[in-house]
Amino acid sequence: MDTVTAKNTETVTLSVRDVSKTFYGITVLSDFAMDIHRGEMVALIGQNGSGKSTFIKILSGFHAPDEGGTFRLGQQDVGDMLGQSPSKTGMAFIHQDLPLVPSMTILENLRIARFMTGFAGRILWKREAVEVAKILAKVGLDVSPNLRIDQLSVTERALVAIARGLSEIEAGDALEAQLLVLDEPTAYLPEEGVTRLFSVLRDLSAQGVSILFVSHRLDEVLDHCSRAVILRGGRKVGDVKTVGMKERDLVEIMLGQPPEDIYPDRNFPVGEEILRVSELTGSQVKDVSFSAKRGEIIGFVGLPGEGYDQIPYLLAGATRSTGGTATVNDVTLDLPKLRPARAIANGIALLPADRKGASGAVDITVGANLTLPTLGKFTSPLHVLRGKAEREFVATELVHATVTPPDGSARLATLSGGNQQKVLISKWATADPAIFLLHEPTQGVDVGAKRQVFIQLNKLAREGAAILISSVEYDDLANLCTRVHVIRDGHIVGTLEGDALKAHDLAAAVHQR
Amino acid sequence: MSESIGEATAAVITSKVTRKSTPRIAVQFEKYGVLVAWVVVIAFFSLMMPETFPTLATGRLILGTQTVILITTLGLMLSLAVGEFDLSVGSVVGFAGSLMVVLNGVLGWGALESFVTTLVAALLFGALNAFLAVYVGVQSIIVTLGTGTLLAGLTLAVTSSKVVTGLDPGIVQFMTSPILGIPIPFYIAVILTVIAWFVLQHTPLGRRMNFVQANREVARLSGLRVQWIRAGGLMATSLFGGLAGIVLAGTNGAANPQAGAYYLLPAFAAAFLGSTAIIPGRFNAFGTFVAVYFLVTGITGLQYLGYAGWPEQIFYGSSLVIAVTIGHVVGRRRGQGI
Repeated sequence: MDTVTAKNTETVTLSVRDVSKTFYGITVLSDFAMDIHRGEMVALIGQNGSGKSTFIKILSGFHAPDEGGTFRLGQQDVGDMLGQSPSKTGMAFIHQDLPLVPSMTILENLRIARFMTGFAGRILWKREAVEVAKILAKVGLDVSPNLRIDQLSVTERALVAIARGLSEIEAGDALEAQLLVLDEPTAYLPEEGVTRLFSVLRDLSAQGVSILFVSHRLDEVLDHCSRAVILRGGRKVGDVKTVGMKERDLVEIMLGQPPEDIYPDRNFPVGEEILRVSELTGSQVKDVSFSAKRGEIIGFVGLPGEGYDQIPYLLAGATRSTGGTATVNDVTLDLPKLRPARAIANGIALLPADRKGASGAVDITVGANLTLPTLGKFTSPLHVLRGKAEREFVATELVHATVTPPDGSARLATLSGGNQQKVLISKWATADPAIFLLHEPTQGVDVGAKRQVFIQLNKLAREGAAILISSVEYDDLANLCTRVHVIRDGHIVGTLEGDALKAHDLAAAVHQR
Repeated sequence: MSESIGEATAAVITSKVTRKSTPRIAVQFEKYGVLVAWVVVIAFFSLMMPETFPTLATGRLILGTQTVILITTLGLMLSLAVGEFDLSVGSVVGFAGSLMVVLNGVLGWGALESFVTTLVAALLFGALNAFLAVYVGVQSIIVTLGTGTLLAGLTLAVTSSKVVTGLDPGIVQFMTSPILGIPIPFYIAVILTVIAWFVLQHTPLGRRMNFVQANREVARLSGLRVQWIRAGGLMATSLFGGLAGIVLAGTNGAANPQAGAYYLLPAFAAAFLGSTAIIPGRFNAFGTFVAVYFLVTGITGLQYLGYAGWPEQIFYGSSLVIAVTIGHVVGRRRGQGI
């Protein structure tokens, strides 16, 4: 499989061999190899944590690979050039968070790196405009280059981003191999935008541009890519032609065998209803209603941009809702008016996915992070902190949560990701929430710490809290939750519970449209 | 399989911890570096001028004359501690001094009324800063650059750019009468330092201020009243600036409307230098105290040696640059590999 015949070499655009990546002794990508031929559109798929993003990040120069890998683009060895300008490597990366400056024009965004200048460094605006119109024509865009990015639709922005990638490659003279890497390009696009994007991509591949397409949307993979490379647990587990395949087949290869049991038993009864959400509406969520009982762990799953991951933030008042109410313990909260402080006062806790940006203050000590919501417990009547009581509480709690090292005076940043997460879950667990909302609680958490996170959540549920998890970790959801709601386009389109709640079925419900 | 991963993880954690822990001596040096520098400066000038420098009179001079800088810096530290930059604090010092003398000396108000009115005026000005920076949401560094310039201009207009005199001799006497050879305001400043230390280190408010500075989003999502804490920091800065202005006027018996400009840079230099001492990486009161007197000692020593005028700017300017550089480098070293 890994030998490329002499005949093929002519048409191979990208060829990588023996690419591995190890973080702190843990191998996240192992001896990866793949080829993409001229004008071919190949999909790279796999669950979160499968190594797919790691590979893209290596290719774009964000991570350095382990020793020994080879990277060729056409006839050129690009192993030492990863991360350099597309005009040198022949590769351009288009990420879902389009890196365009919204307040600047299309022309400025496309040409910022290489304006043509005339006398005294004046930009030759007219010649630039002609040049840019040519580039835009390639992606089927017929708009004035002087429009600002924020005047364009999401679809048009995606096309501008692709145009920029192309023009950057073409700035390199006579690169015979051209590769566009698209990372979840359709995540935020409306239906008709997706169609338009793919018709542009088809035209480009007909002209000889090769495309590596990273996506969760298996329907798009089957419809538009000729081949799919599948990763699981850092290894390539499949390189298949998509002709005649079904989404179910891809899911099968993606999930493989279920992982070993790291999930605590949930053999405790659920209690009375503690949360009722009615007609919750936000920018990505529309009229979602559900309820939760004490002891329940409820999952929300879906594709990026379709709302499953906005629900926790709306219910915690972290992101402004536009409508809906939540009744917690018989207190009805008007969601558009809810603020974090009020939500917390009513027993709603939120653990955001962005650990360093929104969940914990990494420059502050572990102990201070842990006690932030419960500082009131450690004050004398005169509002003075009782340092000793706080330190003792922190020390006990860190041991309970198996945080290593159990040192409350260390800065949070000195802990590993998994240990940070244990601390931050304890931060909210010790506040005795009635409702605990979590977004991707196991992101960047190693297996050992993952189990501890699950034990902490399980214990909270056992003690009578209702737990809501927004995640795309199908295995975790299937093994932790009492039921999982599937969100598509802002609505609950399905609910899996009991025997029907299997990772495989969740993946199918999310990816099959 | 699971065990080998567990072991690997444990190994990672251990190696990380060992790599992270800075040698004890380095930690101590970080904490007491400025204090050590202060001692070195004292020793240096004592060797240079064994007759004149290491005397009680010098000690009194150093501790007694720069109380205004100490109070201003403590105030500035309170807004820096919540992540706000207040460039108007110097103007507040000049404004408050002038207002105090105008009310008491020119308009003949009583000492207490003048004192309270001046402080309220400073506080209201702080509230204006807070309204624009927190409620409207303009960056505080820009807001206070504007409001500070505006206030300095108003001060000049009201006083016709002239030194105002006529302050009640009783006030002057209170401000200049010494206890153990050092004027009373010094002790007030020491008490303020202790209070600021206590609030920042030993109350929930101080802890919350720390989170607001370190990560505003974490603070907000943890239910903290972030807006009020930021507003409070800015208002406290102006209030302290007002008090510093009154002390300045009271000590001199008159107010120079242009005096404010002199206090901005020293306050920033001392506050940032202070944030590298005692509790490195955080704006803290004792660090600020040590930093102020380190700077003042250095400048006094240079003046004794006959260098007048320029040493202050060189000293304050370089200290500010060195302090923020240390803070940046140390912060980056800490941030590695996470």
